[in-house]
Order: sequence, then structure tokens, then C-alpha cells
Amino acid sequence: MEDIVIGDYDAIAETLPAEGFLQLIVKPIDMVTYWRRCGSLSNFVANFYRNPYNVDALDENLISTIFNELIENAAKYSTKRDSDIYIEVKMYNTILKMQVQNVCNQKNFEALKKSMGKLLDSDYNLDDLYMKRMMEKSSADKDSGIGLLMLLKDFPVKVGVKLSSSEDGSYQVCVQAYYFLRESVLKGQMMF
Amino acid sequence: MELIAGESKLTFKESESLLVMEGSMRLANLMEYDKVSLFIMECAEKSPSKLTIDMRTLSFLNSSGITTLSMCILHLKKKLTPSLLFLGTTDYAWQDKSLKNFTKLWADAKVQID
Repeated sequence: MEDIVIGDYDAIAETLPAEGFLQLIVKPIDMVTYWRRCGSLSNFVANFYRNPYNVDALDENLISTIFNELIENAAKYSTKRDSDIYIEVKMYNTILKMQVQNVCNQKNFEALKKSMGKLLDSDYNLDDLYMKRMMEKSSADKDSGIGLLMLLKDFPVKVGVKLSSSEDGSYQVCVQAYYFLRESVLKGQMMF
Repeated sequence: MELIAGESKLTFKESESLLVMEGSMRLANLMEYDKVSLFIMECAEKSPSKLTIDMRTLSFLNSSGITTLSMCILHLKKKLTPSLLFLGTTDYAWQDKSLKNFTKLWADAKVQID
């Protein structure tokens, strides 16, 4: 088993007790067959934490938007049958940790490794990277491939990824997004 | 002229060169967004100098949707017309974060967020 960790993975230690803990398991085949479930699940997660954690409507809209990108990626790039998507959402005071874990094939695994390496490398200017990718898009492309880039560039999140491969040929991806509630209040107080 | 796309609706008011997007737009991929792209380009064809795209009642737009709109902007940039005005709201926080990127693609794509 080989693990590659990129970005702010496990920025909050697993052992730290959370104030809120939501755990879900879904099948990729269910999500891609009934695509609206991605949005429904995202809205549910955001609404679940709206109360009593002082999450206001603006935060709820952003949480749903952020989570939706994570679950859409997991649904699209998972091994469709005989695999699960594991979801954990934890609240730590004013930080919401969203974690989505899935199994994929080697091609998607390598593509994500390359892409995340660029996104989380501080030598790259994310604005420039975003514009470059938009300019390179054509109508023949099936996927936009800008979801995580968009989150990192414009949203108050930290992102980390763990990529695990094993000798039996299985490839596992675990993406974590840490969302900072009420960013205007928290400016200058971030724990990273 | 109307288009239903998933849980969203697009309505074009030709006399005002106004396209209203409402609901939640989270289609699965760029291919699914093709019909949205075609609809927007048709609205642009029928708007002589400026097309206003009102997104103030669009609660969600995923990254595939952002990419689709960006590709429309880049296409119109090549044609030089019509110019674009996107209307957004701070009531839906994603708009405040994402819409500003459109202005970086083309100087004649403006964003007004109230």
C-alpha cells in the first residue's frame, strides 16, 4: 500500500472530538443514474448543519456548493459497481470538515494525482491556472475538470487529498475540504 | 422562448434582450449542458448589441455550468457582439464568489451584484 498526501489533508486530527458528526454511505451507480441525488445530498448536508451551529443562509448556500463539487467528482470518477462512497461531515467550532472517499480506476487516480499536485503547489497562480484551463476547454470535452480549482481559488476552504494504491490494483481517493464559517468574522483567526 | 434544464428554467424575453435563469442548475457534465449553451447562443443571436443574463433567482450553478457559461463568453468575445451583463445577488453566496471570473474572460462581459 502506497499513500500520497497532498495539501491540507488531516489538518484537523482525526482524534479531535467533533461537535457534530454525520456519516453516510452511497453507491456511485445510484448517484450517476439519478444525478439529482448529488444536489439533494448536498442540500441535505448543508441544511443539517444550519441549526444549531449558527450557520446562516449564506453559509448554507456555500456549504451545499462545496459539498456538491466533492460528491459530483466522487460519483463521476468512482468504479461504478461494487464500490461505495464514504462521506463524513464534522463540525469543529467554526470549521466544517467535509470528507468524501471513493474507489476509482488507475487512469482517474493518476489524473487526479497530477491535477491536485498542480492545484496545491504554491508555485502556481490559481487565477492564471483557471484562465488557462478555461481557454483550453472545447465543446468536445466531456467534463469541466475545474471543480476543485474553483473551490480553492474563490471559496473559503482548505483542501487536502490522500491517494492510496495497493498491490492488488485498487485505487482509493479521499478528499477533505475544510470550510470556514462566516469568513468575515474569522479573518485573521484561522488556525492554519 | 423557454428551456427547462434539470431543476432550472431559462426564459428569454426578446423585446428586452433579457435572459432569466432560475432554479438550481447542476447538470451532470458538459455534454448535458450543450442544450443550455445552444439556448444562450440563440438568445445572443437575437440580441443586437447587449444581452442581459439575470441570475438573481438561480440558487446553484455547478462547475460544469460555470465552464459552459465561460465557453459562451469566450465564443462571443471572438464575435465581438453582443456585450454581456450578468445580474447577480448577494443572497446566494456562490454568485459573489464565482461570477466575478466572467469579467476576466472578456472586458465586455460585466457583472453587477446587488
